[in-house]
Amino acid sequence: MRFGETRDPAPTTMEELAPGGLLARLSQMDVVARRAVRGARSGERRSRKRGGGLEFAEHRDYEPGDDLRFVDWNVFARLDRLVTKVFIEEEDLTVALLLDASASMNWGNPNKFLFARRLALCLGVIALRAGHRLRVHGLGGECPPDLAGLRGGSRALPLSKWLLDARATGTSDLGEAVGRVSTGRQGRGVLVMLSDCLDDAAADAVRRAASGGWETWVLRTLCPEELDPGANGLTGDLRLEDVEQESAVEITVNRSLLQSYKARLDADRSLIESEVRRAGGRLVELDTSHDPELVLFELLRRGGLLR
Amino acid sequence: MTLLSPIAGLILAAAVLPPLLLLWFLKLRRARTPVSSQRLWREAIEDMRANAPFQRLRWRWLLVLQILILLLIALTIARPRVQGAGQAGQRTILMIDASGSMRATDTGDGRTRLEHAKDVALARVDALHGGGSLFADSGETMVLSFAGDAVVECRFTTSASELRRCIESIQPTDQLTRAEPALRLARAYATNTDPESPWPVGGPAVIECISDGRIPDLADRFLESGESLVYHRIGSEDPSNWSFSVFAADRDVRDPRQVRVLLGLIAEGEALEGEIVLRVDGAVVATRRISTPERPIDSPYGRVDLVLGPFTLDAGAQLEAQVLTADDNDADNLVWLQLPPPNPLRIQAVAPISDLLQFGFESLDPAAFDLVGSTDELGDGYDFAVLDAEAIGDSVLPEGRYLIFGGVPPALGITRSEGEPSPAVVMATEVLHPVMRGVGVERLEVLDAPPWKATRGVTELMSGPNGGLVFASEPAGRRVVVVGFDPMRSNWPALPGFVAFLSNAAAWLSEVPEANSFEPGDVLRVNGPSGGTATLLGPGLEAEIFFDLDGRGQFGPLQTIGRYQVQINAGSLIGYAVNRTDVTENLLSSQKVLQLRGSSISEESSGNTRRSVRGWILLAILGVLVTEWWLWRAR
Repeated sequence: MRFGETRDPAPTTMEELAPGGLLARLSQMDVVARRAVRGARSGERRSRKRGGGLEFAEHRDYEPGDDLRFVDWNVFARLDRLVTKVFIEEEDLTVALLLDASASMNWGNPNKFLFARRLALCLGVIALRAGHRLRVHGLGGECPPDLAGLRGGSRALPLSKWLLDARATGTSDLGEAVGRVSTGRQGRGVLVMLSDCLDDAAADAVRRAASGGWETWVLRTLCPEELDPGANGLTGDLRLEDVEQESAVEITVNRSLLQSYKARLDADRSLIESEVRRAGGRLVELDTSHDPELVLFELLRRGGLLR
Repeated sequence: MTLLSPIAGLILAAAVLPPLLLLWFLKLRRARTPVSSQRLWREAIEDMRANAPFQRLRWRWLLVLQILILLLIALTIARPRVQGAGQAGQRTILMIDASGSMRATDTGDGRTRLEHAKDVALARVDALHGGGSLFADSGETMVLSFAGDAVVECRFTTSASELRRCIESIQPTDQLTRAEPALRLARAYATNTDPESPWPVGGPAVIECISDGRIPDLADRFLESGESLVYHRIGSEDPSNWSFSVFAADRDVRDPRQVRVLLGLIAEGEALEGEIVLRVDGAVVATRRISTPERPIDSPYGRVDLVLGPFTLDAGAQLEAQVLTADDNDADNLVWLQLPPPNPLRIQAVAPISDLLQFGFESLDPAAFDLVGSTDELGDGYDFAVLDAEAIGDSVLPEGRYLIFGGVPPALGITRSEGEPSPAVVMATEVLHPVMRGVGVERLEVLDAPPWKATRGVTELMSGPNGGLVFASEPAGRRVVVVGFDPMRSNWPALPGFVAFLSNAAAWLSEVPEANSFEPGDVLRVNGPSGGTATLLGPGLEAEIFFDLDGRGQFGPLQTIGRYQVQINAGSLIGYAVNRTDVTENLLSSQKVLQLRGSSISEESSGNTRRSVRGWILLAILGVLVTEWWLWRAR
């Protein structure tokens, strides 16, 4: 078994993708939007659009043309000033899942792409069951056409089929792909990007996702071989060949190199995290060796993506 | 452990280790490993390079093993040997003593010292070249046998079989032991093993001397820089032996038929009592019991001197003396002597001859003193002829023996320098020459001495201020004494030394060389027909002697003692005796230490089997290689 070679067989059914009744245990979960978002149609989610909702948001000065029904006369009586009550309009929440399908994802043990697809399926099912609008996009690789406008728990099947048919191969221009998705017209909501972010343009992709008005979550999936290569069998004089690119780098694994690598990994994590935070998003780094339930019920819930 | 060639090993290590490390820096066999992304690795490497100008040499077992292999190879080239396992290295010279003392049988098993020395040499060959190509020392070995001379039995070779064959073919001699020829030959071969090369090749070899240590001239020799000598001692320290130191016979001056025999014997150690037997032509003529003499405190031996006779011997005879006893060397218990027939002095002279000279020769009481008119009338049957130089003129002297007065005939190697005859006194004399023994010349004055000058091969017996006065020469077929001035023009006849001179000259000129005894190592010189041959018979020997155009033939050096006979043209046999009466060689006590000038070499146990450790190192290299291959495969 070569270093990083995947032992896991490729799943062919939804059950194999989410084994052990994992999906059944997600019924009480929901995707959390920390900010009000504007949806395309009325839904269960607070909207940034003020107006016809039931939940009071704020007062603002009256402007000609405002609906007089929303003028707060009590305030006028006290302050002799016309103010308009602004309500938060409840709209539906769009959840966009961006799945990195570049060749670098199809590596590691447990396989990163399998882990990401499993997580995407869970998140998608959670969103569908919660009545949110779901979009699924593949970044690179060989993926079926993007899914958009999925709503309702019954749409879990096409979601799983999409995920099962996706193939991680080739290269991906992460920044371009994310930019294309995030600037789409179909509402704004929560954008979850599942990627190892090892692309040189990972930070740019995060920036683009956040700039499109999405509440961006980057779930960085890394395998143990990437997190701690020394402890997972990387040793000797090696010629490291990039699975996405034709270039290679020759290394001799020793303690100082491993320390340098970890330092680089930490620096890379900090860079992406700072970019994500600057754009108002969140980064959660996931180890593919972790139990998916642990990830869903602990890490993501604690992180605030799920509740 | 010692290194015979440490420089070679160091040079190799210095030459190959840095390139190996460099290759490890520059080129490694790297396993191809796919990774999800090399970006972080590339950045990590850049970080490291930014922090360190050179990549540190990391601990790798493969590198360690390769360095170990190179060090082992360097060690092998440095010719390591286990301390105490001998000095035999790449080139070894086995010097085997084949002198007379090596005939001794004091080794306890009835075999001679030489046979034991051969066993030691064979064991050394086995140690140096045995064990096949892996454990054999890759160096070459040479075999020398030495006694009075050194003989190359086998040049430098790696062939053990050839070395064994050469060692086994070494024959004993009765010669004295001399180290100088052997060392000179060994050094010549040790420093130039390539006969095609005009320049010395290689350094000094290890010389292993297998001997009883009785090498008298070794004390004058010294080891040269870098030279090493190993001594394998043969024989016991306290042998018991009788040997002869003197065997001579003299005819009575007044009655030459009466012969007395003088015997000198050396007793070494606890020599047992024995009996001396004297034989004449094979018949016992006398016996005498001998007992162990008292040995002086500071002497390693005791002496016994005997005079046997007189015996009446009218003709020449073969004398043989033998010690009948059991001792450690039978070879030196027998001596021979070829006694010439009685030889009364017979002189002929060419007239005119001065009365004083005639009176002087008649005082020698010759059996005959005859006068002839000219050199053409000289006949056979005389010991020598006396003549005046004027009687010869410019003609060349025929073969023969002459005493010449008043000048120098041509073709004798004596030339006349420029200048007129002038008065002269004797400035120097060759007192060691038999003709000059007891001849006082202090008051000799010559009125007119021509300026003669001797060339090579001519002995100047007396020298004056302007050149030689008296000469002795032995040109081909002749023996000549020349007095370069007229004795009557000097006061010499009036001096007592003149008669002594005439007596010595007569004795020297009438000497019969064939009567001489020889020592082993001497060259037997015989005169015979020009261009002819003679047959030499000796102990275990039959050889042919060729005579040159001057009628001179020779054989030798003589290797063994015994009685020799030469037969010329199917004529009568001429007898010769070869005896070893040298006390130094006849003493047998084996020496524990070889004493050289400035150093001494202790004996080395000859039973010590000595092997190079090179084979084990090669095995270690093989083991390391297998380990490295296994590690490489394991990766």
